[in-house]
Amino acid sequence: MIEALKLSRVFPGGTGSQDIAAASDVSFSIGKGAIVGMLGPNGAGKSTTIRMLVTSLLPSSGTARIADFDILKNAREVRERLGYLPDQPPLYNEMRVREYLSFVARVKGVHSRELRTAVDRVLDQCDLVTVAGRLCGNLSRGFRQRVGLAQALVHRPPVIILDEPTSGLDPLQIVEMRKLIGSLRGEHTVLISTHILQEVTQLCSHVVMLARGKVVLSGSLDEVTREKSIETRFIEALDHVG
Amino acid sequence: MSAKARAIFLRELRSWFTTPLFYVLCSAFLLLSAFFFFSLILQFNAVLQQSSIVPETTTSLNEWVILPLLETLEIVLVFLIPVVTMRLLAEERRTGTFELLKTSPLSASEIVAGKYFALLVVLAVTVLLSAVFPASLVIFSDPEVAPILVGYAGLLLFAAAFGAIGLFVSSLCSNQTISGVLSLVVFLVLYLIDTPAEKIGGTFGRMVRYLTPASHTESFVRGVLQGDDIFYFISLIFVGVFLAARALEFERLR
Repeated sequence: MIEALKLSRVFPGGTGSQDIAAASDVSFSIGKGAIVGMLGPNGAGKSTTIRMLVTSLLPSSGTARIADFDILKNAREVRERLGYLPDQPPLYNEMRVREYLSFVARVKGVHSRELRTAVDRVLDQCDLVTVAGRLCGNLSRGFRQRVGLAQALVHRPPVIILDEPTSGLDPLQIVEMRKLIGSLRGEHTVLISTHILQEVTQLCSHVVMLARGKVVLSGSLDEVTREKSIETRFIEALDHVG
Repeated sequence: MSAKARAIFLRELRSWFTTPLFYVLCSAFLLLSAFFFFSLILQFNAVLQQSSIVPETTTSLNEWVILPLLETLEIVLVFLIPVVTMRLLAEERRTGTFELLKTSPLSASEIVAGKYFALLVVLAVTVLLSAVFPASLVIFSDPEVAPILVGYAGLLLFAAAFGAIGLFVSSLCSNQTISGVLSLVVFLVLYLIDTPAEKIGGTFGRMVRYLTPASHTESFVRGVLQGDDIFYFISLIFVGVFLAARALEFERLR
């Protein structure tokens, strides 16, 4: 469902500095219905890789396929099949939650006949019914994140990509958010970027570890943690790349 | 307009009418219009009293009040439009909502069309509200109506053309202030280059002069409709909107 094929992205380093390779030959494959954790410390290239997958950033080389469509050749088709929650939920503060979700549904191509049903479904799914009439700008961080997730789900995309979905949430909000993401298993293919190891062990069936822009470890969680804990594997992987 | 562009248009329009910026700008424009209108009326009264030969009232009202009012409002718009256009795309970049538009199945043209049509409505409402002053003249006196209508059509075209250029500048900037300042500089250059171009003369001078909006609004404010001037403003609108769409497309390819 998600297939990264040697994705690389180089940013210019500025005058007198070397170019920065934020992602180098990142390759992995994610099957239908799986929840996959993209793990890595800050600056590992997780967000860069994700931005390339969601067609927000053009790769310097390589490509990827989302739901059988190439991100370079069929960007529009990819966008139609993709739900994306960036690290900051993209909310219009002056809009009410229901209005905002209706707007997103429209731009994602949901037919006007199905609009109300689609919005009601995600309001219910993300437990937002009580705040449906509130302004996005007045919501707590936890609710903002949930609205962000709801906008990613409103057009029922087969693939969902979440960039650090629990960052900045309090412990209770983290538990609720993880429960919500866990409920997507099976119906959607989910890729989560995170640097929280616990999140991966709780939610994911597969893991892709990145360090310094490279994939250092990937596989099913069972394989990765068969002999050593995920913490140990993570530290070993980081040591390996120096 | 496609359903997606219409969604952008309605959201943008709603955003304008539910935030204070529109009302502040509209009030400022109306206040300035009122100030200039009453100053011109007072000036006209003084001329009437001083003149031993009373001028023919109908012509004079148009010449002494309407014409300079429209010219002044044009200058006010040069300063007001950058404040309106600076937030169009720069604000979306600042708040992160541009990422949503960028990763949605929307074409750059749909984003730009939705935003531009909403901008047109905002500018048209602002400009047309100021018509209350010439309208009061029509009610209480007897100016020629046709030149007022043509003058306002020119003012709307002028606002639409500068709006399109402002949208293009906003599509290049991620900072609202930079977008506003840059638009103002572009507008001032476009607006003020008319006089030096006139002085230069020759083919080059005439060419530069043709490119400035000021030379094309002259006939409008005098109540004369010329196809050449209409064509000029419509071309400017197309160029602005086209470049804004290309700038967004280019950004997606970076």
